[in-house]
Amino acid sequence: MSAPADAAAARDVAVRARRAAWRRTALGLAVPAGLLLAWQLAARAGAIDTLLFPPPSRIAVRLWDLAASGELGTHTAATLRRLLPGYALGSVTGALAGFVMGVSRTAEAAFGPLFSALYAVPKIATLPLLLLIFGLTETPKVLSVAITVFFVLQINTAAGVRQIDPRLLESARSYGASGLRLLRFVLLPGALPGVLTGLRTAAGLGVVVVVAVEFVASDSGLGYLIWNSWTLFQPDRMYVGLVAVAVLGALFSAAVTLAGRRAMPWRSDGRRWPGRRARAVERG
Amino acid sequence: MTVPMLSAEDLGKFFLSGDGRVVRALEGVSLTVREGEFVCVVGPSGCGKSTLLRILGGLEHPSSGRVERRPGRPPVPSASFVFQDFAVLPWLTVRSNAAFGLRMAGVRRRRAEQAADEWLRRMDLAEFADGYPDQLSGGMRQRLALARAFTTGSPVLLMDEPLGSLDPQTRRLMQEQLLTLWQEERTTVVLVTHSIDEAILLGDRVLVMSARPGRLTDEFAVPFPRPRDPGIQDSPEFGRLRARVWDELRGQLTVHAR
Repeated sequence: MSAPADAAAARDVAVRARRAAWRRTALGLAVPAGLLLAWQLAARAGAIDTLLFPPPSRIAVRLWDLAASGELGTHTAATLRRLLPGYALGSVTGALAGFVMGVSRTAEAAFGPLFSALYAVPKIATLPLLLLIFGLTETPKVLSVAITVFFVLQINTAAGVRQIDPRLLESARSYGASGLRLLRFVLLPGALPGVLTGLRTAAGLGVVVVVAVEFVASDSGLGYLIWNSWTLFQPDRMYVGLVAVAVLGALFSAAVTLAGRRAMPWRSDGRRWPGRRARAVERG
Repeated sequence: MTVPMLSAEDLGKFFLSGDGRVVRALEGVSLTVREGEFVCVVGPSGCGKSTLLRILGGLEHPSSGRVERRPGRPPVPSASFVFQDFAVLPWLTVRSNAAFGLRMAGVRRRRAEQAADEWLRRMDLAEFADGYPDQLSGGMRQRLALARAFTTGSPVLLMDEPLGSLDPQTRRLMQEQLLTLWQEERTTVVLVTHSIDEAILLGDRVLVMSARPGRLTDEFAVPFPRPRDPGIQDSPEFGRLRARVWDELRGQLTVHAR
């Protein structure tokens, strides 16, 4: 085949791949948009009860009002002030505990069964106890998130350490890696995929828990906004809360995922310019 | 006679198998490796070749017998390994992987990476130094594993089936590259392999190991002068030696099969 024909064929392949990617993205956006449209039309036509299912246009107007008045911002900030510190605290302590348990058989033997048993307890069930101990302050709300996140990180980090390929450990040891050097060059980066899986899972669960806590024990936050709208029978305000929680959860998860990819540049999806160095052809 | 680089006397090794039985992996293994010698060990699967290599390198202790290694001059480790599955660290760049042995021996980063760059250049990997192992092909990853071993400057390289997971063509290319490289370096090497051809092409001596428990049953001196050309594989002399080694190895395999 001639060189220009080759180049044209290569361009063709690239164009096709790009078009396929666009099609998938467009489909992912078109389906929710279509559902919203159907909802809107159904509400307009009176096919659904607009008291319970206000049309998306009315929810959007209400969203705008709440955002403009600053109420939405206040509640979002309150939720973030509980979610982020709790998430940070739970992540750091959970990853540390998991790491120690992954490395040390003794620590695993001592704490493994206990943590497994505690993991099965729905963490939100500990909220009354925390309220009893700390009173109606911010502390029990932050701690509820932290406890949830802790167990997720502990389990995933310990698994991450144990999943390190024993052949890599052996090869590192054969080169004399031990102690701090083994930790820095092998154990920490080796466990990172497990840690990041934990962080992603915990991001979603953290949002669930903070909203649940705000339902019952708070007079601020997005959870409160949703719950309060129910008691006042203001469904469109409730939908605004639901939308805000969904967006918050999605953004939070996306941020964690993105940070995780950046933290692992050795994976093909973590490189800034994937494909720049295409898989090299074996050259004798 | 000069002091041997590496010697083992009457090595025995037992270990506990998965189902709790005590297995005898090695029995009465003695060998002496001179400085600058390339010794190949061939034997059936599971005969304890890898165990022997690990004991020689100090990764495992023998149950009986002893090993003597001429100590390296710190920070140079006395022996470096090359493994079949490459075992390069996926999260380190190609350059950091090549420098890994020296870093672990306590050499500062800059110096270790300078030495690594030199070897990456010789292994034709210089342009990939800032990339990661998953961007390399199997043959390139194996060259990286070799670069890591050579970069340490260890006087002894212990290679456990280092070309075993490559496809036949790549494997043949790598054999030729390893031959050239070794003839420039003359590092002491003990190489464990399934391939008789590989053993004869590369080695000064070929030791045949029996099925479990592993014993060294015979030894063949390889008569081809250095530097060797890969073309010797097609010579009748090579074929005759291959047949003799195969005869010995075949005896071991059939004894095992009965």
